[in-house]
Amino acid sequence: MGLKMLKLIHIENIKTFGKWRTGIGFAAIGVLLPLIMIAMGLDMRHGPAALAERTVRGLREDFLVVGSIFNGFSAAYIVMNSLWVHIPFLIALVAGDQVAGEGAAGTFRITLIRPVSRTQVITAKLATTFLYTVFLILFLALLSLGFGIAFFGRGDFLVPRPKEILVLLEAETWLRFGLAYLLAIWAMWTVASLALFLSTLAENSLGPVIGTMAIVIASLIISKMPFELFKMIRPFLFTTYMDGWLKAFQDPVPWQHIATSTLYLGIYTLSFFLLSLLVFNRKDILS
Amino acid sequence: MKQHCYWATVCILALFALGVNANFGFGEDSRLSAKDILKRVQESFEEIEDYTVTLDETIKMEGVKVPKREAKLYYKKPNKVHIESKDIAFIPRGGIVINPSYYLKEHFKPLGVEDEILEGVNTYKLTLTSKEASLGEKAVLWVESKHWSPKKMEITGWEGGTVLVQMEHAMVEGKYWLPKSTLVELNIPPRTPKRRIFESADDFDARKERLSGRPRKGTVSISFRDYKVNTGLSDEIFERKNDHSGNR
Repeated sequence: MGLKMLKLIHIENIKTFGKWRTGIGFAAIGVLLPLIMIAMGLDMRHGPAALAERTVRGLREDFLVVGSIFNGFSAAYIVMNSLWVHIPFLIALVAGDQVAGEGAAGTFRITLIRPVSRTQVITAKLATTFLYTVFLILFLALLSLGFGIAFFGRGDFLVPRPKEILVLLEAETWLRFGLAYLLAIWAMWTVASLALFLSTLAENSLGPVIGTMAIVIASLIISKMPFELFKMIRPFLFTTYMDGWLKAFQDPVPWQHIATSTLYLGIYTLSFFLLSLLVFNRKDILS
Repeated sequence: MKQHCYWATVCILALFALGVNANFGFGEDSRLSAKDILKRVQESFEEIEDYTVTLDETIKMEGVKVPKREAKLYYKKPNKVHIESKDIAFIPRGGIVINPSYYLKEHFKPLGVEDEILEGVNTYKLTLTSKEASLGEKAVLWVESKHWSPKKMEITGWEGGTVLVQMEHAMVEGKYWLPKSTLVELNIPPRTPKRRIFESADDFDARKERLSGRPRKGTVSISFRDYKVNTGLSDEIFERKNDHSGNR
């Protein structure tokens, strides 16, 4: 990567992280997470803590359950479920604005007279979007684990699984969460690259944001519904491979499944990026 | 004739002696009733007011993946038990029954008793039936005749499930005969809900599929160490919940 490219990424970072809409994601997580933790703490009988109780209910008749079955790790795990819809929305909010936002603002004509290629501009925008995604997921990880542990303590992690009882040692739980967040970043990069691609097609940022969310939600519905017709479509949807972070909490870790999901998501990310390049390189900048 | 009488007397005496020897080991106790035996088991705990012990547990069960656990058990007469662990632990109820005769007397009525040699040890095999249907249909308890300690216990549930507990005891502090290890074998079939009145077969099938539990099969082994007997445990310990919040 040349110095010019690094400089371009730096400029894109300044532009992106200077916008108020970039702060929305962090503000939303920063405000919502403590509230969620307080709500969980106040609703231990019926709230998410009850999920942990349901996991061990079948054993209670023959076993005494000792120790805390719900702790900060359980709370962070529940918060991770926001990776299906909520976090993709926050990512699309920024990624969808990368090209369309500049198109709407009319800054491309000035930007593109610089001695940089359109490919370099899109690559820099993708790198910035990826960086934003990393920061957002790390922020989510830091706050959910931090507040979770502050509110509910730490210890071994009872993984809420419907068909088995799995307890991970605390030391191993940290590693599993690390792996889960890495896989989450990888999956969210696919969403980010999709939003960036849609952004190259639109003239204002609302369309790519709504478009990304429509695709994510529709794909998730098809991925989860148990219909034969959907089963045939499922392998072609990127949302089918977005559950890698969940697999990080299985024992043993299904590395083969994770590798396959990672590969497919990588192919989707690359494809959306190449499509973005194709569209943007051919795009008439009229505004 | 005299000679014949002499030999007949010798034979009778010899047979009598053999009969006594054959009964040796159970002696007069073989005539004990199941109630008496349970009472003796309970009496063997008389000197123990309270104790604390550390448990090391290993679970090998279908659908249960839990690392090796350590927990601390507090016991106080007659049946107060409190367990603490900084980790999540699943302790089988049968595996830590301190004084089974207390529970068995409460919930079971004896049907019969017979002598049995179990792994080379003379035992009394007590057959008991539950007073309440929910507790299980039958319980069999093998009591070691030397120390009056339970060696094995089998409880058959009303759905055919069995819980088999094998116990090893050891001398603690030179005078108390307490559990050293237990091996609990669980074989519990899936629990199925009962059909409700006015419930259609389809609704019941749907509910049954949703609510039916999973079978539980496997073993739990627990070893007991670091006993501290009669230290005067406070009642407050037993008022705490059987859990421990996470480390903060």
